[in-house]
Amino acid sequence: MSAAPLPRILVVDDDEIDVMALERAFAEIGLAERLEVAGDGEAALGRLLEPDAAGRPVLLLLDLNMPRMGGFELLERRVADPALEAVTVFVMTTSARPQDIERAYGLGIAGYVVKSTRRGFSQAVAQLVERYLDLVTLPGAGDALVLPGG
Amino acid sequence: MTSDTSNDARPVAAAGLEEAAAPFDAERVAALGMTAGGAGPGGAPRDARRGILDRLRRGCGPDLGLSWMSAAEREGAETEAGQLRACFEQSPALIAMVEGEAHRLAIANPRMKALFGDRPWRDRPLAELCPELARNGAIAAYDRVYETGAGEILPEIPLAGEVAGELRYFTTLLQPRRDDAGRVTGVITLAFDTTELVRARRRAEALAIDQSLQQTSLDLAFAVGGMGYVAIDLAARRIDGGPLLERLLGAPDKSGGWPLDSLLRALEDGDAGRLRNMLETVQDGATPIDAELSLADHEDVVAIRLVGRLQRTPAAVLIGIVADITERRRSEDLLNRRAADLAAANRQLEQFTHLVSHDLKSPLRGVHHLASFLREDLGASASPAVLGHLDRLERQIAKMSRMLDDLQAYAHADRAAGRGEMVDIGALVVELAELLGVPDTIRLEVDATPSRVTTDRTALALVLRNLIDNAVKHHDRENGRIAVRARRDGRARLRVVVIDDGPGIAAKQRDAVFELFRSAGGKGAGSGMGLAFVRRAVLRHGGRIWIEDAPDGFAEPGRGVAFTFTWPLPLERSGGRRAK
Repeated sequence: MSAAPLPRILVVDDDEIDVMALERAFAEIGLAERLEVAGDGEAALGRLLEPDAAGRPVLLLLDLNMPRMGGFELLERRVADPALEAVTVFVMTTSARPQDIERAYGLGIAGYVVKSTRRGFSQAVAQLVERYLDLVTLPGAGDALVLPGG
Repeated sequence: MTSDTSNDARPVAAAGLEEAAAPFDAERVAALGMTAGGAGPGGAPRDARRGILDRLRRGCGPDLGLSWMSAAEREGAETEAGQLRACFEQSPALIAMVEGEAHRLAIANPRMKALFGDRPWRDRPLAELCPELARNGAIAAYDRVYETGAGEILPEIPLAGEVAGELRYFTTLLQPRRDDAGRVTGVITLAFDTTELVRARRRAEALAIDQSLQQTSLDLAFAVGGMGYVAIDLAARRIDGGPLLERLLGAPDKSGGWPLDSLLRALEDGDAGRLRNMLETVQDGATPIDAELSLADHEDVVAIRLVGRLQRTPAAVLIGIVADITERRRSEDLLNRRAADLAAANRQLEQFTHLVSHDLKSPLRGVHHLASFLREDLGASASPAVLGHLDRLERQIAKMSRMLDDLQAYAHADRAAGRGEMVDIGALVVELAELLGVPDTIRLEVDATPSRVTTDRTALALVLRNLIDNAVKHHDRENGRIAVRARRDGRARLRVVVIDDGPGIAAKQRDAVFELFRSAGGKGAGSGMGLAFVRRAVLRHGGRIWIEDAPDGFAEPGRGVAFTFTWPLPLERSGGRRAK
């Protein structure tokens, strides 16, 4: 077992059932313990800025429409704050509006996923994240990003 | 008739006048009382001479019967007679004498005779020679002169081509001719061809009318258009103009204009500077100044347009037109406001549908997730009945989800009008059929004339896709037939019919099927939005859509339906195709 902490994934979404679906999908591929949940942007910000840098999430699955602090506001904070730059963000939302998609990419996201009721959608998202973390080298992580069994 | 037989006694008819004098035969002269016997050889030379002159005044002949005179006297008289005769023959005026009540022509000089051409004229009544004179009132004047003995002047008697070859005008002097007893025996006519004068005067009159017409039209156009003249003297920095400038700048000063500065002061600061700059830099030449200038705070004029050209007359003067463009500005403002309102309304609608679909979709997705959690968690332990319920639940969720997607798309259908592009209708239908997965058991026919049109492809595809989809979805038999027919309808419109041989739509349902979430039912019915989409897209494009029975012979009696819509096309440019 590697000494480096496992990279953590933060789901930022106020929709309880969407979160449940993701948790179930991540559990299916054995990544349940890597998943954290924040109910809005402010809660997410708290996690991203916590003193122990090693314990911060490296990847966000970010909803756009949330109470208190929405997804765009968090993305704007991230662009303005060098301490938040390192985190990789996938937007996951119900909005398919072109202007939302453009605006989100303009704020430096890694991908934009429109939530779907398609069968197996949550599983596909979990697999995407797994593959992504497996293949992509994230900033400041070196070769520490080794998945269990990888 | 007495006549002198010596050769040297006949100088009058000599040489060049011979021919012109030919009609003046001796007989004629006798008839006029020009015989030598009338005076007699015994008469005093002085009297005789007056008698001759009298006769000459009344008309003269080649043989003056002067044999009784001395050679010197004769020579003098003959010279005088010759000169008078030359006057008569060569006169630019038309001279004639008519006699009696019927105004029979007795004498005419060559120019007068020319009027009659080759026709014999002697002793013929004037009215017969020239009936036009009766019609234009000239004969009546002859009658008056003959009866009253008072001369008359007839201004501009018109004579048409009948005698003159073309319409000509003659100003005519009528003078009574009297015999020695003072009785009127005829009328002497002296006519001048004043055609050119008349024409020149008419041209001048027409020109004056034209000018006054132009001036009036211009004045009216200016008044209607809220325009006026303007002249800006650049050196004197003075401005002249009409009522519009007076409205802008108040009453003109004593010299009938305004200082240029008063115009500059009336303008908004930026525009005053712009105009000042233009006036300083304006060059001679073809390019006129053209500026829209806003007034600083005039009570009813918001803005003016000034168009002018520099002319050196010899001072540098900008001559032009100033127009009140207040109305246009107001309409533009209104239009801009309307456009902004519309854009705002569209944004609100879009936000609304986005929120509705988002807010409805979230719980629906929740239900969907919960159903799948149930399926997963129950696993193999679920009874077939429970699994059946789950299936039905998921189908309902999927249907609801599709409705919400369609609702969103419906809201978006109003935006982003497509640009015109060349569309091959046949190819489009084939493509749509593939996209929709129209089964092989349904025969799809296309018949389009013209086969290619320039239009908004996306919109036309949306309409055709939904109509074909509708025909396929509602078909109740294994084998079917769908036809898409397009025809030009008038100059700039396409009429398209999508016909099927399915179960048909009852007459009373035909309007309802176009309403949102109304479906005539049938197997695999959709969200009930397709036809609402179709109608919206057609109306938005400026067309109309309605439902008819399928044409005779297309489907079994009582079955089949034809959706017909009109689809405006851009007007094709007249004057042939333009090469690229």
